[in-house]
Amino acid sequence: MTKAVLLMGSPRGRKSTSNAVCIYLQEIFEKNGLESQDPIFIRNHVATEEKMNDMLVAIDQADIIVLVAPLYDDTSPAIVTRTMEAMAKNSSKYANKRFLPIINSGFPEPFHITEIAIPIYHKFATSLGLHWTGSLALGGGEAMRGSIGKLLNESGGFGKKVMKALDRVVESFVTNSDFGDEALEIFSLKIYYNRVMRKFMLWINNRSWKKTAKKNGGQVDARPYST
Amino acid sequence: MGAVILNGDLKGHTRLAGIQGILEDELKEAGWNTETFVLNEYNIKSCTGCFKCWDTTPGICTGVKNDDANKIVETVIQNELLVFLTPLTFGGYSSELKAIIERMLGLLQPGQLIVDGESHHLKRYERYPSVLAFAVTDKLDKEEEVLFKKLLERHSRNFYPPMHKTEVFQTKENEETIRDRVNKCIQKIKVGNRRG
Ligand SMILES: Cc1cc2nc3c(=O)[nH]c(=O)nc-3n(C[C@H](O)[C@H](O)[C@H](O)COP(=O)(O)O)c2cc1C
Repeated sequence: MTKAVLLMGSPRGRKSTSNAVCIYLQEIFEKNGLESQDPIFIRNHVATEEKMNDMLVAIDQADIIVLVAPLYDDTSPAIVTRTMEAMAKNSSKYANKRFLPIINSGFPEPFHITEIAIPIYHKFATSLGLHWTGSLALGGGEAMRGSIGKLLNESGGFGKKVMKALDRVVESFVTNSDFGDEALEIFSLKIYYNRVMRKFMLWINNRSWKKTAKKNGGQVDARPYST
Repeated sequence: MGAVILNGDLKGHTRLAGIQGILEDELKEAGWNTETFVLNEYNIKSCTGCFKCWDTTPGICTGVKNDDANKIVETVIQNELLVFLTPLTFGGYSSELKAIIERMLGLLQPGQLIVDGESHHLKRYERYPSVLAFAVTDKLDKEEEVLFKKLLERHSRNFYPPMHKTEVFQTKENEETIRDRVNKCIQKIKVGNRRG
C-alpha cells in the first residue's frame, strides 16, 4: 500500500488554513486507499533533536511527502526551513519519494507564492533527489478562515474550490502521475483587478484592521520604536 | 550611521565568522557603527502567526514571550543598514535568519495597498534600513544564486528598503576577493525613504 505523510507546516497549529487542508487530505487519502496517519505538526517537532528524528523517521517510511504550509516573507516559515535543513543532512534516504508542497498566502495573488517560494521548494526537492510531482499555490488562503478553526467544508465557495483541487492532487497520487504546478485564486482576481471593487475591498480590509486594533486598545499605525 | 548585522549561521557552525569579521572591519572603515547579532547565540522563537503585532499591540510582538527577538527588531528599525548573513539554503535563508525575519512583521502595518500592480502591506515607519544580503556556499550553484537574488527582490517589495543588494560567496574564496566584493557593496549603500 502506498504510504503518504502529511507535514503540517503552519506555526499556528490546529487552527490554521494549512491544517484545514491536511484534515481534508487525510480524509480523501483514506477514501482512495492511500495509507496515512494524522498530519505531523512540524512546530511540535523542531524543538528537540529527538522530536525532529521522529519526524524524519515518519518521512523516511513514506512514499509520498505532502508539505502543507503558509507563505512567510515570500518563502518557507522558519520551522519548515529547519525541517528542510534536517532532511538535507540525511539526503541519501529520499531518492524517488514523491514530494508536493501546498502553500497558502495572505495576499490574494498566487504569484506571491509561485515567484520564489515554489522554486525554492523545487530546488530543495531536486537537491535531495525527491521526485517533484508538482505543487499547489493557494493565493489568499487566509480568506478561508482556518485561523478560527474553519474546515474546508465550512468555508463556502472558497473551500469548495480548494477541495476540488485537492481531489485532483490525490487522483494524481493514485494514478501514479504527476500533478504538475498549479496556482489557484481562492478569491477571484477578476473581481480584485476591477479598480472600483479593489478600492472598496482595500478600504474594508484596512478599516477592519484599524477597528480590531482599536477594540484591543491599540492604534493600528502606532510607531512604538523611535527611529 | 548605524548598521545591524544578523548572522544566520546554524548552531554549531562558524561558516559565516570570516565574512562577518571582514564586514565589520570594512563598515567601520567606511564610517559605520556596527552591531552584530550571531542569532544562534540568542533565544529567538519563531513567529506563531497570531498577528498580535498588528491587531493588539501594533508594532510590538506580544504573541511570543520571553525571548530576545523584540530587542533585535527594535535595533533593526533604528539603524540605516541591515545586513543578512546566511548559509545559502536551497537559494534562501537559513532557519536561524528566517526566524528573526518573521518576527519583524510588526515593522509593517497591516492592511494592503497596491504597489506596481501587486498587493503589499503598508509602511509603519517613514524610513526602513537598506539591506545587504550575503550568502555563503561551499559549492557555487547558478540556480541557487539566481533564487537568492530573486528572494531578496521579492522580500524587499514587502520591506521598503531604500536599496538592497545580494552577493553569494564561496567558502573557499580568498580573503582579499571577499574584502573587495564587500567593499564594492558598501559603496553602493543608499539610505533614505522609499514610497509605500
Ligand atoms: C510572519 C508572517 C509573514 C507572512 N508573509 C507573507 C507573505 O510574504 N506573503 C503573503 O501573501 N502572506 C504572508 N503572510 C500571511 C500568511 O501566509 C497567511 O496568513 C496564511 O493564510 C496563513 O496560513 P496558515 O493559517 O496555514 O498558517 C505572512 C504571515 C506571517 C505571520
